[in-house]
Amino acid sequence: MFRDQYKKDFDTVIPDAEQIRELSQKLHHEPARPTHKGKNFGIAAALTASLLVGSLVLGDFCPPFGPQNSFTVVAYPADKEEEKTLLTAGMKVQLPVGTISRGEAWPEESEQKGYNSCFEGTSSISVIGDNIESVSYSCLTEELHYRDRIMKKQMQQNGELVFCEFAIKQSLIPDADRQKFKRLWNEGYFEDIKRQYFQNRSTNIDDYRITFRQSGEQIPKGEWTIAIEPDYQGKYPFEERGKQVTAKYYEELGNESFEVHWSPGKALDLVSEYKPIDLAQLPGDTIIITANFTDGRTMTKILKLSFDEQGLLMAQLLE
Amino acid sequence: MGTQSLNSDGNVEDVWERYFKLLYGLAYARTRNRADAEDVLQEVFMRYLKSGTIFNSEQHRKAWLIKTAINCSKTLLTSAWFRKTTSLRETLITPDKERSEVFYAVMDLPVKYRILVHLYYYEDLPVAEIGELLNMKEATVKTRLHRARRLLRTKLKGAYEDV
Repeated sequence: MFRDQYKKDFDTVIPDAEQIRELSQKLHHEPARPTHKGKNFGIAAALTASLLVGSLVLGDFCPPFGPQNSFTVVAYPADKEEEKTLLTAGMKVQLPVGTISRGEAWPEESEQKGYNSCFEGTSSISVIGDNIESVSYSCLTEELHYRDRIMKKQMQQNGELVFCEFAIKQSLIPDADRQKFKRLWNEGYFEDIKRQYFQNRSTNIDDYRITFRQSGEQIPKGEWTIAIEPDYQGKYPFEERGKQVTAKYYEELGNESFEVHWSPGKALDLVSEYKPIDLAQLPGDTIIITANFTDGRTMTKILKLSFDEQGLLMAQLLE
Repeated sequence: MGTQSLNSDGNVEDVWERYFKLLYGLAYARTRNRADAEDVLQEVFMRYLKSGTIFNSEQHRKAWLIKTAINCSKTLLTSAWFRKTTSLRETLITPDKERSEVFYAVMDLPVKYRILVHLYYYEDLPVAEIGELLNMKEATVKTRLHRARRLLRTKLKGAYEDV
């Protein structure tokens, strides 16, 4: 009933037809993506520009053992690598990657008193540099998250993340109930799936993770897509979470290989507490970034993260 | 399952027709403002046109567009201009006789809950997919949905027990 009512209500949020027509026309008259020739020129231009910027920035970091073994720390909003902020030693800058804030107080009926807290945005931290084999990050207060995208892709290609996917009528398991699926599985309802995908695997369904998905196209047909996956208990081999993570270099990703995410869980807990808060006094974090170069040498930089009085994330690379 | 190679520069009009309502709705649910939702929609499609992404499937394209719409509206929400004007803008949600208290209760939720509620109840996305799109653990999505439901039940004074 709630779902139906919300859908009915939200269906009244119709974009202004005139605005949409104008927008559509404008977009359809946008020049298409550059041709390969144009794209190469674009890449060449971007490369030249980044080399120029890089050389200016690297000037600040010229290490005693030569300009090759150096790196620059960058930060950017998740999925917007093009908006990166280059961090220069000593300079405190506001990062366009997130703001911490306090929302409404929890309702009086709640068991505990507190406030909603929110960190808008995901902060991606990475490095730019040549001849880097891997980058180790460790933080003192919060948690880091690294996803090895290439390992994930390889595992997907090897069928190590999903053993099989198949569609069933929604009416068979209306509430996406895993117990119901298990019962049907044990009663022999999916013998063809067992024969096709589980000949050399355990047929005990408790050994796997079952997910139900439904795309827009499946809704009118009343179907679920069921995926049977190995149960990694939420700890996928391609993911690292914790106070220390290491990002490996992959040629196909270039410097994007070194991207890690930082999230302020402890600061959010403090913002939720039922007492006055000064956002500028939140703990922030210290991240120790060590680049391991191909020649065996290493170089370390320390990044201090803090919040200002408005909750904006500030970063300072220590000199 | 086979995958189809779908390039972003093919059938822009089809993609627009198929997704503009979904993306506009999503942007509105985040910004609560028609003009901002239109800005987000424009930005998403500009990025789409400029992107060289090859999509493995229609589902991949949809996920890319949703993710980009969420990021674009996040950027808008965190911009200094938006923060300074937001209190005025929030008053711009004028009551509409066509809408029930459910709509206003959802729109009144903090943004981090609002978007989850919209994706779950309007777009019918499963929790796991929402987590994937928002870069959140499935458990976090479940916890936030639980808190959002608790807030909604309070706001709706028990009128919708199935929330």
